[in-house]
Amino acid sequence: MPDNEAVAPPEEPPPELPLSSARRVLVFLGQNRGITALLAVMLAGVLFTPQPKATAPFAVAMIQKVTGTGEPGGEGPPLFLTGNLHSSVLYEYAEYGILATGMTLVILTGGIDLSVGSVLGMAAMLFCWLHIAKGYPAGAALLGGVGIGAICGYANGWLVSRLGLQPFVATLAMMVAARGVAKVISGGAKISPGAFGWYHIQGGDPAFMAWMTYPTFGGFLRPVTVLFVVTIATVALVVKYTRFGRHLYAIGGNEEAARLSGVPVGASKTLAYVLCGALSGLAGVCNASRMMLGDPEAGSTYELDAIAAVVIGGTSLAGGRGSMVFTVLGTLIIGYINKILSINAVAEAYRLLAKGLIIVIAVVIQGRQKAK
Amino acid sequence: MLRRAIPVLAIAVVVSALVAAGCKPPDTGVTGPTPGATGPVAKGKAPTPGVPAVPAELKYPDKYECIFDADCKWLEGEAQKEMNSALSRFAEIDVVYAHNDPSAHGAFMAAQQEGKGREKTIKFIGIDANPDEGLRYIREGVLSVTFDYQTGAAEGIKAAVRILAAEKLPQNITLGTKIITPDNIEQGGEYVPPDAREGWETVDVLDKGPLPKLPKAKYVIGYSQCNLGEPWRIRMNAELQKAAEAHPALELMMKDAQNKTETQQSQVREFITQKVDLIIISPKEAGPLTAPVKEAMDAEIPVIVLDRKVEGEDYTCFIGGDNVMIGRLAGNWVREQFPDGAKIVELKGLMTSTPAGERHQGFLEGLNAIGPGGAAPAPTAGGPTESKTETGPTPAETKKTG
Amino acid sequence: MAGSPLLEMRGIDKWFGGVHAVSDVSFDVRAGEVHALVGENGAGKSTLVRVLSGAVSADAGEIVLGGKTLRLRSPRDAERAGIAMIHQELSLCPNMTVAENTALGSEPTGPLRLLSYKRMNDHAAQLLDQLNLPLDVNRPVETFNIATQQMIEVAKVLARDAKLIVMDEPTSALTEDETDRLFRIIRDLRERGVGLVYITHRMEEIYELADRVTVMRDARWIGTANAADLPPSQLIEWMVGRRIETLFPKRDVTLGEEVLAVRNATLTAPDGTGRLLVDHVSLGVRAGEILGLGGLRGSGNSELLGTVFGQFGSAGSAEITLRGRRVEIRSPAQALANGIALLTNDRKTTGLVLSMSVLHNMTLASLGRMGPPGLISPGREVTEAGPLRDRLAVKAASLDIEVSSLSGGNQQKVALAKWLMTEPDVLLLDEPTRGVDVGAKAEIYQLMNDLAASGKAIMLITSELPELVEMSDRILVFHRGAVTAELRGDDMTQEKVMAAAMSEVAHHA
Repeated sequence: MPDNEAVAPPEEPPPELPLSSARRVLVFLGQNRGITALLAVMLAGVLFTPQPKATAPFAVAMIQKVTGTGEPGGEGPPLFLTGNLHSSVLYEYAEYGILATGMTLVILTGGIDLSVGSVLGMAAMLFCWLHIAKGYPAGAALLGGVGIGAICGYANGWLVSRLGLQPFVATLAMMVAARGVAKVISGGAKISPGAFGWYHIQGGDPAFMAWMTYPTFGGFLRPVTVLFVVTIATVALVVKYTRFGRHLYAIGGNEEAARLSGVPVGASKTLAYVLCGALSGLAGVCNASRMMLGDPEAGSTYELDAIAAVVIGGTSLAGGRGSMVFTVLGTLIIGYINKILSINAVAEAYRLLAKGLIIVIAVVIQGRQKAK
Repeated sequence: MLRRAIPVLAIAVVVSALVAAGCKPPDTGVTGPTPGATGPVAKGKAPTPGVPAVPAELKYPDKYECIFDADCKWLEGEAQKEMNSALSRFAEIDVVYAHNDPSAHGAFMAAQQEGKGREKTIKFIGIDANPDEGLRYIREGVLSVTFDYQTGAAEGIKAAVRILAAEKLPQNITLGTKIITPDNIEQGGEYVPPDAREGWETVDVLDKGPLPKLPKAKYVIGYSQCNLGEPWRIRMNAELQKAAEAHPALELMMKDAQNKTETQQSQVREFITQKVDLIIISPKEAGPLTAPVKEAMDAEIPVIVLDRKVEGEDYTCFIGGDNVMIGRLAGNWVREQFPDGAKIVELKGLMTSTPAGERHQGFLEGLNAIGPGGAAPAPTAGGPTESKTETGPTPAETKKTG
Repeated sequence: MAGSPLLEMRGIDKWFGGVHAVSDVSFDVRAGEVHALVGENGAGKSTLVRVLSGAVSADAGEIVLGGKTLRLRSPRDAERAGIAMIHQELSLCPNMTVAENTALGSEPTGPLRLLSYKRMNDHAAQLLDQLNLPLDVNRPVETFNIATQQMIEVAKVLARDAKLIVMDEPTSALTEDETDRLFRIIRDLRERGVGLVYITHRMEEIYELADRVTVMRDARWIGTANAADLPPSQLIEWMVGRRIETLFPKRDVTLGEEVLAVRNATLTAPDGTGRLLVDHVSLGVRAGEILGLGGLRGSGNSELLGTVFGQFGSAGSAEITLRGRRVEIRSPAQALANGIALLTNDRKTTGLVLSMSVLHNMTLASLGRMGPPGLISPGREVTEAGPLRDRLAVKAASLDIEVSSLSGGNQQKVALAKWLMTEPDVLLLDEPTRGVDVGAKAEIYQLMNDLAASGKAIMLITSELPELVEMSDRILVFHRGAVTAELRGDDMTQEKVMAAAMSEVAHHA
């Protein structure tokens, strides 16, 4: 180790050139990759969703119109510009967003949580078992769902900070275990109203779940979506204005330096996992409400989407950098991409290709951003 | 600055390119049974032998337009999302053909949550007919029709009794199905016997003559189930146990392989060591389980294979359902209900698994009025050609309760 | 054979950014010679040796080995030329066998170009034989202890037919017996005509082993002489001798009562050997006192500070009394709660969180005071940090920029600010002016004096001897984990400190 160190860059920042407003917009976009990516996706949405009653994507249809080829048939603006599509995305991806919120906390510390999908499924099952099968009031069942998520989170946190296991390994084990518990709760069957004679709720839609999925707010937003927004806003405040939040950034940035500055590393990490687990539980309740039943397979492979949402938004997997705003962007990006692919009935293989490529591109962009 | 923006724009370009590429008219052609690889919740099955070669590119006929299709991986949640997209896009949807009941239910939920009341105007088709799922949906009015994907459990026990009584049975037995609608559900649905296929016997062979009496007082049957994670397999277990109760001499020893091939292999070998009288197995995969089954046969223990096959011919008896036929019956049903044509949304199961491929192929056969073992005239543009040139039994003709 | 120059380095110059690490140094080694290279921390010998081993390339100068001018672009080039480097961190693969390690990179092949284990094992056995090391060449290297591993490394180096071997402080982890064994091997190598460059801080080793000694100081070559002709005092003067600068502020020292008393501090090495990095050290610091801890790297002074701060958890232990009250300190959080702060000597790995802003780094250890319990008020942070930034003259465009974009000296100031913000009673400073320019150093010295004057107790470690001698009221010198000397008043000279740092003197309880 040399005793002499390389001297870092000079102390005054380089003089700034005056910029025209167009260039300033470009600079802003360049520095805020998440927003740029979201705009790019929305542009793709406008161009590539079809008009009502048409099959060809809007851009193709326009070209066909201009060149006089192809069948006419579409009327009106492309589907991407209708409110219904956006309301759908916000509804369907609210639970992914809640998962991604918890995942961000854990990733900020430099860890990861692979069990969020399984915990979602387990919480959905428990919620339905308590509410539909056993007849407990929805509020109590919700607490049960969130609670069991928190317990799993605590187990994850204990394995990581007490036993020193790699987060990947510990949460992988939890992923398998939680899925097992989800299947044990009802012996592998789905829990839905009237499925079995002894269930407390027979037939019809449980009131709480119906309310969660009904477009209450202006006929556009559903309580599930609002729950996501409220959740992520709350967590954002926590991360910014509490000691706990600051500790997360410190631990992710330089765990040893944080420890030597008196940060309670073990306790903070554990709390991050507990919150992630609890939020996964909450997402499970949302999922059950959306489907009006508890599915033991619910949430399988959701963890990958959650991680993708966090990463694409701009939070670094290495820890120490990122924010909830990024996660909102990432969730929206993932949601819109999925929706565009779905609206166009793109074949499964191409969908997987598309998502894989997008993740790679997003991470490459991030990587170049870091290389300073 | 611009250089840094390029990779971001690349996202838009990539998405667009793939959307354009993957965005074909939803009429995907089918060329014979797709090779089976099992998916997460799949019910994989080796391709049905003896299925006659279908005309190379089977498409949706013009009258029955598939306006939207998607791979929902057997999952209800995915089906709900895909149906949502379909609903946003299309104002007119007549019928939804889902490859299993949960997907159909998910589609129903999507229509219901749309808030425009379309769940009442669209007809939903499901498959499986589990008592606590599909049948319930029929009763609640969610599904217009579903088809019983029989587990073969009861038939398996019948076959076991015959084999233990030293009767000779054909090696491959195919099961029929039941068409279940709200009208006939109280009578237990309408039974449809299996199609005749080369190398296969239909299931009524098990009913030829009365069941023999078993010579010994007690028989132990080892039963290896590949997993208990799917509701359909839980149903199979329940039916197996119920059928076995009717024969007090049979004692059923069940082992759950928890979806692990190695576990199932050692379970079969354990049965051999324990010298059971007969083995019933529903294998996770064909290849790895072939050897243990052969070892059992060599040890003079008869093996009945249910639902999924092993390779080769070293087993006593295989009993399984016919997904192509089920799909075809669904297609026939659509033709019956919509003689003037219909706009169809198809929500497929995991297309890398055999049942999904077969249910899709069968559906196309039904829509094109191709009966079992016969080719219909190639579908030409316009004009009803179906009703007169049909071969094979239609659902309306066979009336036999299962 | 001895007498002909094997290696000649002429006019080597190396800059790292704005720092002149090696300045026009010429250095030669003869075949069959052990040549000790000596200098205090930062003198430039590590850099010189890295140039020689190909790890960095010189900005000027040339290297001639056996008459041939070498162009070294990578360590592999150096290896091929016959120069081998044995670092303190050994470069063996722990799970591979002895034979595999010695053959690494040049594995012998048999017919069909397949690995010939027989040839590998035979060759390894041969080498070990030459070193008088009867070892089972088939055992994985990790099963041997550190000392033996070091010798295996020597064997590995010999396998490459090294003509010149550089050893960097090889005995730092060895016991006396193991050191003797190593020396026997070194003498053996010398007999066979190998040239050895031996870097060490230990006087006794220099005089026991070396034929010639070269001293570097402040990046320059100071002198070379035969060990037999060089008295220790001259050696030390070469290492240390410089005009005492007058940049150190004067102060009046009024000492108060004892603030911190440490009894029986011990720290066990983490490598499982049971070696003590801090060997039952006791000391005390009074209010208003600056206690200097002298000693070279690895001598135990840094480790002592870390032990007091609770940095090492259960590996370290000490009886600590603060203003007469016994306290338990097992973690940094506890130390902070008791008013003790430690500025570590490596800000990049243990001092700062480079991804966070200047502001956030400054407040990291004092978050409890930044708002209602559990919460942080950004306004409060800025009000607390602003004055400190001014007091330390941290040059940063704003408090919100990432601390990684600051210069080294300013980063150091941010780290210092963090600890000052905690308003400690006891301030432990490990190399506080590392990487700081002269002007800023003066500011920091003044700051230290002010803090002492206000009644704080300060312990200071610095590898710059003038700084140590001028700033401290009292100096304890460490060597091999124990205090070898206590210097006060006129006895606090650079020479005496260096002498105590390099020798084994019977230490007191």
